[in-house]
Amino acid sequence: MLSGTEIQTSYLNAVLSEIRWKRAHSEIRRELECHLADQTQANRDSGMSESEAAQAAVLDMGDAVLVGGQLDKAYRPKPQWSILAFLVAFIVAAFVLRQAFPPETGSIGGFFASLVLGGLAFAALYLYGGVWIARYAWWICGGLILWRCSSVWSNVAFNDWMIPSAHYCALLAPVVLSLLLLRMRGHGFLALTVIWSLVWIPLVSGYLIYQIDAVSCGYWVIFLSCAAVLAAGCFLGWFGTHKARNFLLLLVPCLALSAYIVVESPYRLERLTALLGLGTDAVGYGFMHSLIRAALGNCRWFGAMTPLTEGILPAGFTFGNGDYLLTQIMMRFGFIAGLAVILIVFAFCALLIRKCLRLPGTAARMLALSASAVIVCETVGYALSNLGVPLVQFMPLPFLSEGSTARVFNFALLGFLCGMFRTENLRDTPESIQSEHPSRIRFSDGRLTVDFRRKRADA
Amino acid sequence: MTEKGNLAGNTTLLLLKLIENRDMYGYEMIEELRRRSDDTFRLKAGTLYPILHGLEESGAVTSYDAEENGRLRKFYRLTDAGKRLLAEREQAWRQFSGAVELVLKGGVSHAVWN
Repeated sequence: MLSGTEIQTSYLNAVLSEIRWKRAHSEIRRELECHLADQTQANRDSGMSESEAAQAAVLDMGDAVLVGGQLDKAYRPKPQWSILAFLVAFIVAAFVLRQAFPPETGSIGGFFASLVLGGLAFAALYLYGGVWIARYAWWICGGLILWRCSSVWSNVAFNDWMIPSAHYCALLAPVVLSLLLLRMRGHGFLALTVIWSLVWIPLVSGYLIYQIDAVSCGYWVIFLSCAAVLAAGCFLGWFGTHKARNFLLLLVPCLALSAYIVVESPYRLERLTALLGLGTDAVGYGFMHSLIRAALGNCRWFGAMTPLTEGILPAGFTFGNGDYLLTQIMMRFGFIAGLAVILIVFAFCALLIRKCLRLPGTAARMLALSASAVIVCETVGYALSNLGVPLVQFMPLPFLSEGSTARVFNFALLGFLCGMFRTENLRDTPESIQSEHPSRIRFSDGRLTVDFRRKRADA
Repeated sequence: MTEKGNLAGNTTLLLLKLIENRDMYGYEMIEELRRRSDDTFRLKAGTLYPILHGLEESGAVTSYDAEENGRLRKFYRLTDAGKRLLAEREQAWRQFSGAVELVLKGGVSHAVWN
């Protein structure tokens, strides 16, 4: 004779066996278990024995096969056809554009290798991406920091040889920061301080290392995205601390420091003034953009540009395929063609943002928005740069411009987003965020506890 | 009166109405429906949850987790789209029940104007 608990477990297993989407099982099981517990309790209160109460609760649920079948219809992953269609179109367009504007560096082999690697990253995150990844936030963060530091070490150890992908791993920083915020929410001011230091220490070190390198402009975009993510976390009260104190003690001083870094550097100040139209230096920092403006001045709405006066462009000069693809399109095919490309990529960004805002649950929305923010920042920075507004340079145009490493990271970001959108009907729960095996070392209420006695459940 | 009788086809309307002013979890909805209908409508959990999840899928309701009485429960809340759906279903039901009422009372008496 089965006990009441066994009957209920057997019933739940029968329901779940009808539901094809395994990732939905834990959520459905939790809700039905809760219902059965309520009903069993009510039955007990009405005078039934423990066993009778449990059996009656199961009978009240209805036929397991029928219930499971109905739930199977309601719980299906959403394939995200619109994003997949965009992605395929972008891949084809990237190949065509590569043939039309052969890059100065990079081989066709590298292009296809980046497609394969990016495709694998996309597929893995499309199938398995979700809020649950926050369980491993610290591991991912550690890996990212190690990867970033590897460029400095390799630079020092191997005589200026630098791991090329290390710059672009910064594209993942806002997402990793969001994962950390989710992982550490409710852990107080200490957690907030640790996470915030993870943002601005790389910024300052990046500033020190790359203060005369235009690549650091991209870090600014990433940093501002991270700051926005963190500010959102503070505003939502995720740390269980006083919101005003969060802003006053951390965000305000660090944003002030960031502003100081901009103003203090003649290089960055030059870019800022160029953006505001206060002055350009055609032979210094504004060299490329004075050329772009000269070229765009001769572009037509349709068709190839009128030839530039001899001597404006240096002999044999071409705008690179990676950083100035839009400028080249406008020069060869006219403004309309360039603007059409910009509009298509912005439409894609708008689609991503719209899907992010429709996600249920603040945690999922924030994670998805942080990933989308990177793609949007890249697009805006690239479009501005290619229109002669040099605030941010050397950001890739997502999925289109030449750049194998950036392509892999953008594919990964998009895969992560699709994974979130695909599983939007599965909400985040504390169980999905908190580790199933809590650490032996815990910090709470101002006390650091190290538990030597507890054996790990998986040991 | 059984669920398969008068309740059939109108469960969605009743569920949306239940959470119009207050968020509820599944078991609470069944109990509240029974209470408000004077023990007439006894909805099975196996019927309730697929409907709720279908409504969530269509965007009429949204859900969130909150603890009550020591248990982590999944609460359902009516969205703006759900409010519009409720208004439509309510109007359709009033038309339908009004028509049934008219038939039961012998139909509309038409005056003849000469």
